[in-house]
Amino acid sequence: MTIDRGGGEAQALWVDLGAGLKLALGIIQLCQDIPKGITDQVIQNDMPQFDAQQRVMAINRLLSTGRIDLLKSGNQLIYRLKNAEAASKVKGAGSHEKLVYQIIEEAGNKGIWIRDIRYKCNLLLTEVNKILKNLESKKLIKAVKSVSLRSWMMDRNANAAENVLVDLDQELEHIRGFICGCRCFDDGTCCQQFMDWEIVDTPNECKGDNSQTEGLRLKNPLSCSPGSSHPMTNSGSICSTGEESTHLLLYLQNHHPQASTSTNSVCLTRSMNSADINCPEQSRHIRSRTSPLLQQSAHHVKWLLPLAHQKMTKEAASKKKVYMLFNVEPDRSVTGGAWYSDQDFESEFVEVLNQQCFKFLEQKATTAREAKTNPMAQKNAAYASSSDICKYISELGISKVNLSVEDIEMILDTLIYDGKVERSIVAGGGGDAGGQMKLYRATPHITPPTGLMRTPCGVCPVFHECHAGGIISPTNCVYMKEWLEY
Amino acid sequence: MSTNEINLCSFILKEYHGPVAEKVGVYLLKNGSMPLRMIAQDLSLKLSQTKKTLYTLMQHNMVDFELHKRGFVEYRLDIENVLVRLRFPRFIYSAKMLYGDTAELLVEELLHHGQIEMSRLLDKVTERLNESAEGGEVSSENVREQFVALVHTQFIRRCLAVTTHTTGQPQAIPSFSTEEQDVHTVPTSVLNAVDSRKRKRSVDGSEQATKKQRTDTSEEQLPDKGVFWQIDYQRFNHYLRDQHIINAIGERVDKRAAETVRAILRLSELSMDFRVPTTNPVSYHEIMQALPKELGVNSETLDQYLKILVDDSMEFILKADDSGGGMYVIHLKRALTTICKAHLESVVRERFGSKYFRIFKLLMLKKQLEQKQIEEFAMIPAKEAKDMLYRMFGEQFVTITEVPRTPDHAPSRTFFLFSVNISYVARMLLEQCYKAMFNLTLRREHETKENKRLLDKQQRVEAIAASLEQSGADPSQRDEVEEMITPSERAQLARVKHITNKLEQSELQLEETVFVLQTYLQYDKLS
Repeated sequence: MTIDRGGGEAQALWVDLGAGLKLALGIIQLCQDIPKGITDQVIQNDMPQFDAQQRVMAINRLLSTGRIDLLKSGNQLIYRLKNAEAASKVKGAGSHEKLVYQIIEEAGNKGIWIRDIRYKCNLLLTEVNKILKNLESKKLIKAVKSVSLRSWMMDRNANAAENVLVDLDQELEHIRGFICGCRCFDDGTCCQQFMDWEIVDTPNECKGDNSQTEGLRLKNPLSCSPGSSHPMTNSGSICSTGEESTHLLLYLQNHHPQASTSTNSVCLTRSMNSADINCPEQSRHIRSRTSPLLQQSAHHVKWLLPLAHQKMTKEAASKKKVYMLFNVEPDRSVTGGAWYSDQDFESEFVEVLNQQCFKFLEQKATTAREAKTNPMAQKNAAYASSSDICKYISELGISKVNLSVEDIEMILDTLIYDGKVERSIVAGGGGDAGGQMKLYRATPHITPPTGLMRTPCGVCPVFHECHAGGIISPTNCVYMKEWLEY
Repeated sequence: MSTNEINLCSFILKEYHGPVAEKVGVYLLKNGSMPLRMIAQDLSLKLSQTKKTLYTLMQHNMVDFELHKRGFVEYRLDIENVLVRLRFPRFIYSAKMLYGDTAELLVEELLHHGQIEMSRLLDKVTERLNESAEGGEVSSENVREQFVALVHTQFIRRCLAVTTHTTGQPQAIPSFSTEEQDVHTVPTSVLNAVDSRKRKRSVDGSEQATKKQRTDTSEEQLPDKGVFWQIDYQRFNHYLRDQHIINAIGERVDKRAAETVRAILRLSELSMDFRVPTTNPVSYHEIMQALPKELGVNSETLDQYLKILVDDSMEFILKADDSGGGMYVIHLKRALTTICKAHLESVVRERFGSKYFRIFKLLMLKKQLEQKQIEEFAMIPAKEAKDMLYRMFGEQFVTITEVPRTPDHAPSRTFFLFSVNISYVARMLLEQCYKAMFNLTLRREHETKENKRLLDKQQRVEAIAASLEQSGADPSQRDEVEEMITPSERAQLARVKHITNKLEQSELQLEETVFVLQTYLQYDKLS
């Protein structure tokens, strides 16, 4: 690209550079003035003296030095000043490091998994690992072990489902981003790329069922996980990135219009959604070409989305290392709340609380019984609300951590599972936001230990090996002898 | 029928009816219905001996017979009626608690004989009462009243009468009258006959007890010949079942609530069909009247108790209707399920521990759970929870359901849901109970056999001492005889007594578990 402004080459370059610098400074100034971001139109209006070519150069330079961000709003591109603080922190680092740092920063106090980082920045695993190690040693980020309780905590929260959906949305975002970024899209090249794909028929391993599942697999054996013959895994991994799912979509449409097996519909769904939401030129193009397929697989969406959700929850549930900025306090869902210290479940603490709660309820029941009032009053006096118990526990001061009513309710639930306590819910009784009050009451066991367990046979470890006349037999049983001598 | 069950049956038959009965019984259990000749041949017994054994077993309601379509008679052993033998002590105790000593003896004698005529039974009981009672003579009138009361409350039933066939042709098996409804009434003819005999006796003068027995041996003299009576096992079982329900309520709420439940059960017990899951509706006023006055329950308190019982999370008692001040029923099936659950829970708690119990109860409450969820709900560290869950799975307290996401059932893509199948666990525990019961009885037999010589000696010495006392010998002579048992032998005897007592007590306790499980499974089968 040459810019002819007349005059000598060196001078032209100098002028060009000077103009570019001026333009760049102007853009930064504009960005600072309008923190929401500016469009190309704004720049043009503010500095009409520069032509499109110069603007492109200046913006490219600013982008490459990491001073501004390129964002998209509707079908307009927006330039915005990058966080100066972040830029200064990772000063001297490579652009990849900056990228990773930004991704981690975005994740906030929830943290982000290494696979998601890789997935977002499209770097090689080894490189991401190196960068993460580097950042960690600089004390810019930290690794936090997420606890297994996470998915459950999500469930307990009202927005549990939302969280899962957010996860899913992030992936969709990614695909969407890809489709936007897919500047030059040409059927010819696509088809060229898709030649690497093949449709495979995988016989079902299920006994008695000879039906075959159609699946997709890469011809290139290197990118196909060896040994696994099931289409779900292969197509799943293949289609995990947006690029491939779009390719796949096109490919399917070109070569196999009937393909609507469950195996590829997850990614179909994803790409369909992204195409649906975003509608840039290219995806619209895809959509117009693939609409019969989309319709065809529409009914799969219904049951595949829950599946995808489930997958998400499962991932969230497993113990995994997440990265977050060094100074960020990890979210409750990551640390597991009050029951975890250093990511280890404190079973003793839970046990002590369990016992204390029961003691409280039992005492209440005993005083109620001794009051000798009428039976109804006796029963009602034995009940205690969860907030009362919570207050009692915090007054006891056994817990260093502040326990919320929900925490106590979890403990009380374990007491219900212990069969020592029963719960009854009173609507509109308490000051709780939900208008519900949970009442708990200690209840005795309805039977004494059963007869079987009062004989040595009930607890005998070799009960199943015991036979009359055998090596182990009731006549020479040592356990029985001891029990009888007692 | 499992090996454990057969083992136990064989032991019961041997203990109470001898080795031949055991042989025949086990043969019938293993082979099902069999004709007489086959039994004799396969067991290489004499035909007469086999016949006698079958008579005995039939007398004790253990053997049934039916006509094969080819025209020969087949004999079948009713295993339930054999196993019910273990419950006899409880039956006798219940009768004593309900109606006192006379009823106790009546039931005891009746159980002892299997089937017997009324007059003979009354004589025996009167005799025994007079033997034990110091002082005042117990009138046979009193015994007769007790007997009639027991019949009215359906604890004793009449055996089906043999109908005389009019055709005159000899038939292979006797036919029975099928009028079920009058088995719980004493026919006036029988009453009159018994009474007239009494009168005759009293006219005859005060005959001595020893002589009376001699007259009884000649069957012809019995006025109520051919009308036999037997214990209604079903009725006793129901009574025991009700006791379990009452006790459970007593533990759960309090004594007075238990009395309320007892009143409801009492009011509907006589008109109940076994096959329905709930009792007949009982009105508020009826309950009020049926409650014992000394409890001091006024209508307000009763109202509250009923409200508590209906509101209770166990849901034993339901309000069926609002008429008549409120109609209440007891959901027997639910009650039995709850009680059975309590027993299963008790087994888990005692055998494994409270943490295991938490997981078990959690599964019962939440039905189907994945491993992860179990760890989280129970708040037990994953490693421990896994260990506990798998151990219970290994011991078959917990079952697993596979829900595959893909048709190939690959473990990585399959949900494994854990759950508790109550009737399955109950069945398994019932088997274990049978085995444990067999073990206990075997051990008891072993202990007695080990010390047989000593026990015999003690018996002999006691007999001699007793005869000496009767003949009026001086105490020194008696002491001399008693000293034939050395101190070490005496200690050993005390030990044996202690051991047998302990074993017998355990057998009774174990029988309670068996009873709960059996009754639960019966109700479980109903729906």
